[in-house]
Amino acid sequence: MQSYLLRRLWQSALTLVGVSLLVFVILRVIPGDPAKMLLPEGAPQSAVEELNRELGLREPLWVQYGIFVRSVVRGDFGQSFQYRAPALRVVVERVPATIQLALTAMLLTVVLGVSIGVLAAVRRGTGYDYAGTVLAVLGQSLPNFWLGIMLILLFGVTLRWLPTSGFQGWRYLVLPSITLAAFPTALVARLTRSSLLEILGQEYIRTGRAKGLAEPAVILRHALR
Amino acid sequence: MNRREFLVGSGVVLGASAVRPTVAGAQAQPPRGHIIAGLSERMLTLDPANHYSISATSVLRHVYDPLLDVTNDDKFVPALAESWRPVNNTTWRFTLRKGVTFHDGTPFNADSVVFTLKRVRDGKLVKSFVYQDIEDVQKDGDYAVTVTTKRPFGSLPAHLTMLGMLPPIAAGSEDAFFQKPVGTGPFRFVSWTHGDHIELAANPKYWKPGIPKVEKVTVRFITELSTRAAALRAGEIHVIDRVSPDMVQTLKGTPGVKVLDTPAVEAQRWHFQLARDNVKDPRVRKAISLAIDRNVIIKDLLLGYARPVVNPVPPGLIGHTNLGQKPYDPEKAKLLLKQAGQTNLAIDFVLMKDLYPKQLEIAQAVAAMLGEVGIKVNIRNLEIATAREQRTAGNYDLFFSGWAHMPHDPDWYFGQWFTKAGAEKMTRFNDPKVEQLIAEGRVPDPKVRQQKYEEIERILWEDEPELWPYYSVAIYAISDKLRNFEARRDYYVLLSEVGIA
Repeated sequence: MQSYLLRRLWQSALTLVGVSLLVFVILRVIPGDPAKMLLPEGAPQSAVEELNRELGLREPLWVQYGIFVRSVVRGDFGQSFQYRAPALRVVVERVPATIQLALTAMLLTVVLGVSIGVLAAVRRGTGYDYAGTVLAVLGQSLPNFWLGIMLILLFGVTLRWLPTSGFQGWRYLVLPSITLAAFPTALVARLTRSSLLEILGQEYIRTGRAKGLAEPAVILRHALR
Repeated sequence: MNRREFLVGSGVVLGASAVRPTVAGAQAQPPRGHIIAGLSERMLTLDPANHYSISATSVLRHVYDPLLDVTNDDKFVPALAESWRPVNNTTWRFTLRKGVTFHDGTPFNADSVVFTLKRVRDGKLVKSFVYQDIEDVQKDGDYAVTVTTKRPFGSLPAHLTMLGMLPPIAAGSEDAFFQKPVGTGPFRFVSWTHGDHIELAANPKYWKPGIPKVEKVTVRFITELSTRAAALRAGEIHVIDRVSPDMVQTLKGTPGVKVLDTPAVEAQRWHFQLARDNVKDPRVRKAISLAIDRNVIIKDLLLGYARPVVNPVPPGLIGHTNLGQKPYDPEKAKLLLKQAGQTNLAIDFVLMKDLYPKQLEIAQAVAAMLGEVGIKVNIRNLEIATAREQRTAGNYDLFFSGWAHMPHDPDWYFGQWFTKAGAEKMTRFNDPKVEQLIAEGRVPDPKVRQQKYEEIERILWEDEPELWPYYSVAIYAISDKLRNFEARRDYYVLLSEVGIA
């Protein structure tokens, strides 16, 4: 067990180094000069050079990487070129909102996806099933940038129930998390439906019903497991 | 009467009717209400010397005061400097306003100016390159400053409209200072959620009486136009900038929303790579210019939200003079091409992806127009960084670009694009005569500047090292609750004199 853990730790360390090296090289090889992007179009070449030197971008690549690794080891992730502020601060500021949005979307996916799937499977061939299937197909086929705009227009602009953008509390989470959850919800719903249907045909389900279990118990306690 | 006068007039009437007949009746009303603006470009820093972003300039104008302001009709007016004058060609003297304090109570005086100017000159900041010509900054008592320059710097007052004055206490602890900065501006800094919004609160001790009009301003950064417009239409925000012509109808049709526009201080300018054999010959450039029907672009593609060009420099700026519109004459274009021996010409037209409204449609229309006279246009719509690199490398014939004359002065434009040093890695423009005139036009005397610039403009107009297809129009949309909002030519959103119902 211990040797396994050590091996995995070693492997992940290697992966980290590999990824950082790759990202580092790619970011510097692709076209685009950070100093030119920061300065206005009319900045003279000397100013571009100066700013690049200031940003440390005129050192050879391997020196830049060395500096980067040395600082990271000390817990310093460097300065964001764009914000001219510590990169770690720029990232950390965004973490809470990102996590909240991801969790809400995940919650929606599980709750809605499983419920729709179960309903469709249990009421197979009824209106519920068809409605569920239509929703699932829509969820998987609507591009989410479009869905997002439509939700904004309907709930933000026309009905004015929810804010159109920004982040200042839970109301701001509703539309983005629905948009984000649409695709995975549809996927989960379809998977739930088809695997539940398969299981409902199994012997032990019939046994359960035969011994007089109530239908909800059959579905929730046995089939969904 | 134009719209602005009308708005100002109606503001006065409203103000007058609201004042109750008390002893203190003449006094201005205390600030009231909360304005929320949605700007197109994210602000990246609170340091007024470390950016050239138009959004950041307008946001920071509320927190910091510059020495001078520029009005929408391009007049330079006092802000923290009560007056200024050139002592000679390389010396400016500024007399400062007395009794002004920073938000933390420290007085504003000559030390602030000396600190701010030396900081921007000596620092490695985004604006530093503009101030390299400053030789020295000397205070003369507490309320006067003399700036000497290495060569004439006639556009210094114009540039200073974009530089907020800082308290000298910022020295040495800049990182901490810019976490919670203080200025002398009409609003105090409250908080900034990076990438999302900034909160400002009225400065009750602002030196300009009756300003600001509202207690609180929030500026949200909403980069996507459709989202910005949705927030305005939903009533969440009160003003948005950078509206595109095809969004105007939707916004005009929304109850409670008004659309304002004004000719911008920006000229579109598509520059040629003058070292390329394709377009080196002035006859070829003239032919390309003659083959483009600018009115079609203005009327059909930009829906009238652009103005015909009559000079490389937009009206209102020093040096502008009406040189008449460029003609549209495809027959003459064909003739010129034949004379130049370029009957089978193909040119690369490089665009910076999604930078200007409707640019791809415009480029396609131009390609069709040039096709009519036998020029094949190869449109290359590249990522901004890639496009700029291609330009530096010289891999283009024509480059789609615009120039906003941000300090309301054309010196920067001329110096950057029409001197050998400036144009070297760009357009490869090199004309000693023009260079000479630009140097002569840097003196403070406005009469000399006007005359030199007119001369430069005539040369450029004839030679056409670039095409000037149209002047841009700045379009804003606002809530009808806003009072006295001015659609600025420089794309700023300035709210200190704006009230809200």
